Amino acid sequence: MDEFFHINNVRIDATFAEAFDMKATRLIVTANDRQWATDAAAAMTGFGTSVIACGIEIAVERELAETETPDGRPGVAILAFAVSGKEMDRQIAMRAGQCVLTCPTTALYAGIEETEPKSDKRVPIGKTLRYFGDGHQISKMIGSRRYWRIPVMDGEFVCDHDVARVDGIGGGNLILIGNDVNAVTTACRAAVQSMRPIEGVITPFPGGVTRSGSKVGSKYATLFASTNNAFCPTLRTVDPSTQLMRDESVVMEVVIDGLSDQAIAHAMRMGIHAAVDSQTDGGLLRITAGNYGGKLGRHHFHLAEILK
Amino acid sequence: MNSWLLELQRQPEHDIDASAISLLALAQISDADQVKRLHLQCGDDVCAVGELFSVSKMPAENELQLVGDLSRFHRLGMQHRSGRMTIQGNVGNYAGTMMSGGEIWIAGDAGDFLGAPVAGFRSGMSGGRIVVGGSAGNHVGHRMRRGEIFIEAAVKDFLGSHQIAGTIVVAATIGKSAGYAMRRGTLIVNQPPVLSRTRFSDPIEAFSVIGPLLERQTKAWTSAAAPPQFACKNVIGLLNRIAEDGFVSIRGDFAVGGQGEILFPR
Repeated sequence: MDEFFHINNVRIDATFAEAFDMKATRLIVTANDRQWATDAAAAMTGFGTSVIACGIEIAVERELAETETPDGRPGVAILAFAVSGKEMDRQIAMRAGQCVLTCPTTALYAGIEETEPKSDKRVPIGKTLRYFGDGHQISKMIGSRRYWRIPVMDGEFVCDHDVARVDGIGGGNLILIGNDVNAVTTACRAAVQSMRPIEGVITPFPGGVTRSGSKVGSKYATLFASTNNAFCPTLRTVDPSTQLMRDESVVMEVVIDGLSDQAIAHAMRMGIHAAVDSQTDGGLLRITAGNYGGKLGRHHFHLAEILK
Repeated sequence: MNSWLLELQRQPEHDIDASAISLLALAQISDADQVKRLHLQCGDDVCAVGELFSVSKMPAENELQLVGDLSRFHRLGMQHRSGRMTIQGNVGNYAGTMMSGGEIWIAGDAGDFLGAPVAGFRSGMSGGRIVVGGSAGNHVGHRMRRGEIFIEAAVKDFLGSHQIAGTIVVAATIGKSAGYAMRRGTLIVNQPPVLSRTRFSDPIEAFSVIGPLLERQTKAWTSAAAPPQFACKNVIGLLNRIAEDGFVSIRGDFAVGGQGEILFPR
């Protein structure tokens, strides 16, 4: 990488993160107390790190206060991203049915504000789950919103009929490079922590961070993604495509999905500042971003521009 | 979409079929004289709107406001489907009959068959909202299929009879035979109703968030949409009690295989 600049002695490459279009939606889980709400949200967002094998990228966006939820109970907002509407429908229906419907006292609501006229791109929730009621389910229209009430063993499970599906962006990223695992961990955690309050973004990997960043394609025909060998330290001296320099022995990536370009750019900016300000004792050496030369996605987040 | 204000100048001598005074028709008219020339069935006779009302244009969008005691005007808001009708006074029978959308706000009392189908038709109200600031007569929400009816004061007999779906909230007393032959839908009342033990279930206490949902969404809608004279205090108060203290539900009418529900506060 030829062009770069420094913030707090950490090199920032003048490169860009390449992101692509996805289908997105937001769901709101509420429950009688925060524990049940977070338990249901944790179950629903489990195994939802990457569309490579999970089918969906899904994570908690933020916790919601009682005043912010449709039924006045503690809640959690969840953002979900998928590559197709069909896969989104399948994943949401399965996860809502097995993870939220099953959790005591919960309810599940649409979290995307309705437009006028109503968008015809919909992700079914109660539309699918209602059949669990075996004929005892009740549809209830309140205003223009249809809810389903499904009898369950603690009373009723209430959920929206469906939720609007919107355009989202997947694959915003920051790659943090250092010479010490603890230092890069600290920087990554600081970056992810700084992104948590931002509305409209999620970092779907464990703790918001992945160490197995991937490239598109593989030497094996059945795989459409494989290890990003250009950033693997053990291959630094043997792989001519390496992008690592001397002393760079640890790489971790923060992947960001968002509902808009602005939200992702804001999250990346906050993340970079938090990472370079964190206590890494010089162990964080460089911040760069992953791209495929602009061929994969139309959303390019140039680090130099978003830090202006 | 034009908006009109019709103020009653003299009481009619006979009952009036007021179905011609519809927002759908009046919104297309831009000339007040044309509105005045509209014919109403008045007993066995016909009379013009202008003979009974003063007519003036309003700056609002897609709204029809009627002022005066319209107890002898029946079928007001027939097949109403969008926009807002407000009535500063009482209305006769069959107000909001077969409406499918929009809002009807009645400051005074409503007659019988509010939101019900007129003779010869099977389906009653199928969407929209009716708010009554006073009381209502018999057969409120008869054959109602969808939509919401909020009544601040008492209603008479056969509330929600033959109801198919939809929600009716009555903040004061109700008469006999509520929910008669109801198939689905929700009646919300403020005290345990007297019902046939063979047609309706015993009261059931159960957990559901539908109470808080109804309360919050109704409160949000009324605070955003209610005209200044309509506070909807009693209905909001009843829904608030249900949201906070929970509710008891009675299911039926089993005589018609119904799964309707009558809710009242714990």
